[in-house]
Amino acid sequence: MRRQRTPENRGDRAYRLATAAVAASIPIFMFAILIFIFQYSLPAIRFNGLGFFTTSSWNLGNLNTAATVVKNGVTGLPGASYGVIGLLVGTLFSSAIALLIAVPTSIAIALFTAEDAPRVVREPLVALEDLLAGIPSVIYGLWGITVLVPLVQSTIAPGMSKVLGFVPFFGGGTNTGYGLLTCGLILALMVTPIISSTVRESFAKTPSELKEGALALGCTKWEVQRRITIPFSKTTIAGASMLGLGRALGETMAVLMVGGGSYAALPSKIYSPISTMATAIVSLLDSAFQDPTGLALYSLAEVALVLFAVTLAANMAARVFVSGGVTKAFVSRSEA
Amino acid sequence: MVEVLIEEGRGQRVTLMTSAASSASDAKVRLETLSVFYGDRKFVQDISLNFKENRVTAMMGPSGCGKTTVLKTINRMIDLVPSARTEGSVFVDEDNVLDSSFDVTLLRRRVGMVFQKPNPFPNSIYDNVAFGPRIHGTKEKKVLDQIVEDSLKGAGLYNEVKDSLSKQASALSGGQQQRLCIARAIAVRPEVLLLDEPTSALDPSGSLKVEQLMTELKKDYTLVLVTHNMQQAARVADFTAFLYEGKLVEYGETGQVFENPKEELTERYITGKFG
Amino acid sequence: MKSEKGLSSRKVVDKSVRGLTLLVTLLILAPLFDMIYIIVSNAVPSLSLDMFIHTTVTDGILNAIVGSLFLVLLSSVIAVSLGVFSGVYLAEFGGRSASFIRFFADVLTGVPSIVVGYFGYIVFVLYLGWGYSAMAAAIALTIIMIPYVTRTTEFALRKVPSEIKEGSYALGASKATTVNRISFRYAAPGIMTGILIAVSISLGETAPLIYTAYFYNYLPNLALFHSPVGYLTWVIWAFINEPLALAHQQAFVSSFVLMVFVLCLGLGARFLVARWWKS
Repeated sequence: MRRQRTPENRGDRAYRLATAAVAASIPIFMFAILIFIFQYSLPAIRFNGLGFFTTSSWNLGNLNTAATVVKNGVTGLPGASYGVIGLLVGTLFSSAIALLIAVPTSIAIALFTAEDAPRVVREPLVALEDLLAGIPSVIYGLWGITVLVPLVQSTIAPGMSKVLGFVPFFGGGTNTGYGLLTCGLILALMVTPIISSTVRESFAKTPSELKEGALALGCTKWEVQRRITIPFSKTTIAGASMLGLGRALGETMAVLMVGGGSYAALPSKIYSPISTMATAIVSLLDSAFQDPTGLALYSLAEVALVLFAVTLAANMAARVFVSGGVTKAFVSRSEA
Repeated sequence: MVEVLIEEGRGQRVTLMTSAASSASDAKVRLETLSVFYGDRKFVQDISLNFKENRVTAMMGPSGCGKTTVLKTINRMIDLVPSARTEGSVFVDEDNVLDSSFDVTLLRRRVGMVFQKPNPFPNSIYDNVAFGPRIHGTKEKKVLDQIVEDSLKGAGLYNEVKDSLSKQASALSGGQQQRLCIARAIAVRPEVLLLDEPTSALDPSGSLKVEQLMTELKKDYTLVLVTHNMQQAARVADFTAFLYEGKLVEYGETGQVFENPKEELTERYITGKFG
Repeated sequence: MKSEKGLSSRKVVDKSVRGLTLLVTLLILAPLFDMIYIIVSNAVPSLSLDMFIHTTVTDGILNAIVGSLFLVLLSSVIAVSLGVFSGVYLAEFGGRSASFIRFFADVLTGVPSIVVGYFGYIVFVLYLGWGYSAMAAAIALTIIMIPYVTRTTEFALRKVPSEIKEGSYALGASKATTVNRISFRYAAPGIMTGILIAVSISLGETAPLIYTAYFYNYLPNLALFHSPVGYLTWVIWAFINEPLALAHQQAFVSSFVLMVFVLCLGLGARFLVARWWKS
């Protein structure tokens, strides 16, 4: 006999349709963002071509002339040239440094909070961690300018170039305190609470019978953590790291404030000033208004598109590892 | 066995063997007025009990009588319970393991544990058995291979898994997993084996294999068995202790405890009047 | 004995790890305390009535405070209405379309806020011709807030025990009535927590507001269109780089006010979670 669904009554049906319509706003927003930004960037995509991805420059061209050039059917100023590589490198390098620091740090914090901290301390620690995660980006930037930049300039950068100076990238160069290293440090600080709270919850779920089995064989606490607890959570660690990466890639204000802002040059040293795709969209907008052809604005939209694609990739990777994705990790924290 | 040199004369050595029985009945593990508190509650009360070397001693009693708690003091797994406090002494040979300066890691190498529910690590069979020796410093593959083989043989599992040592331990049946856990425990060559209701999660054929194994294992190890199952105690244990509400009620040779219990409480438990 | 030697180095390693994890934890918490210290020590001496009466034209930040609250309020009204009922849909009417929507909610949280801001600029400020406006900013903030409100509402509603809902259905109540009268009451703390957290996030945003609301040195005239609005985070970002000491003071006082708001919202959320677990 065919399974029959009891018919839905009219009132329920109306409610379902109404709430569905409201919920549809989410994918609608999502597609709207994608479509409008793509459409707005089309002229730039045509004008800039593949050179956009192989060069690094941000040149609006000759603003003083009434003459224009036309490339692929799109009008731009003579001499206009846009290339995103410098921004891409700034984005990826700063996020990479951030993750390199944040992942082991987060694991260490998760181990401490989940296993070592006495019960009384655990709840306040978790609260502090959540607080760190909720601090606005501009305030991280403010602290960055006030404390971190001078610290990098006076101590961290000279120290680093003394110890690691034999590697060309780490050798001394101009050191203002603003630059790739500082960005990496502040991003690491911002991203750590996100990763460590997810990892901590996963550590807490390690089946106690596995840990007891290892202890009964004579493992020290660290050996249990190294051989049982951490391997058990390795998928979650990967997923949380991807989540953190997604956050770092899109981070704007803090990086804007400590980055030093160089739009075209590729960083030659770890102390070089950088811009990321996100910070460029902010800092280049005012100047983009001066371009009568609008090409500068269209090119910024192209930057936004690339940024969108890169963060999307990171977040999709995270979804593969952490079931339920970004908001679940967030929501589970908010419920306990 | 004790060999004593009597005389060295005329180029001859004469040795005297003392009786095997008396040395084998030395207590390997000795509890002296052991008490365990959970918070303010005195859960285990002043128990003094001997576990003889190379014998199986069973602790039985109704749920909550303290038998598992006592077991956990012997390898200091009781430390994992935050509210637990101990008083009294637990001697393994001449060492008081409850002494706070006593090294727990080394203790757990001398005293192994098998848990109620088999808990193999999410690794291969080989890696499970090799886990203990690796932790304690053995690295060369040849040595590890031999240890794994010997331990699996000692647990009666070798023939069943010898061709699939790299298979995941979770693929084994419940009874096989428990024997794997026993192999894992004996891989570090302990002196004492603690077994906490080792067959309660197994089916009858798995249980039978483990029981037969216990009888074999006592030749090399001292076994302390906690069990709910009186018939099992009767089948496997040389000595039986009956605990009730944290106190030791009766202890003696298994045959005597079951057929001729000295205490009325013991008799009531055995005849099923409670528990 | 070999194992004895190995043992002492194993113990040394174990002790070192204990120390290392503690050290790292303290190392990460230190900047948090330093941040609070910096803000408090720089802001408190500058706290004065003028700060809170005057606007950024002179020596105050009133327009920024009012502007932030105005924008957050406006966007919350939209985000909560949309988000809560989206959450209702996801919780009460599952199925393929629900997973489809859940997927996009997750994707939406990953969109960088500057991209949302630029989208807002293109569509609302330019195409629709609203100019820098509260409405454009509010929609940008809504896009950022919606996924959080939706998912927390969904989780809160899912936790409502089915016996309670079945009791209502058995009395003949419709789904709408059941949700509105029964489920919401039960799930309210959870939903509120999600709202508080989303509000906290939107209060701290800058990037999406820069090109939708721009900045305004006067009190917002509460027009929804064609009128830029000032807000606290702009003051922090823009004024800290100005050479004037007064600008720095305004930046720090704005940070102080913002942190107070964020802390209160966070505490409120924790309090609600505690109350929810008790019920």
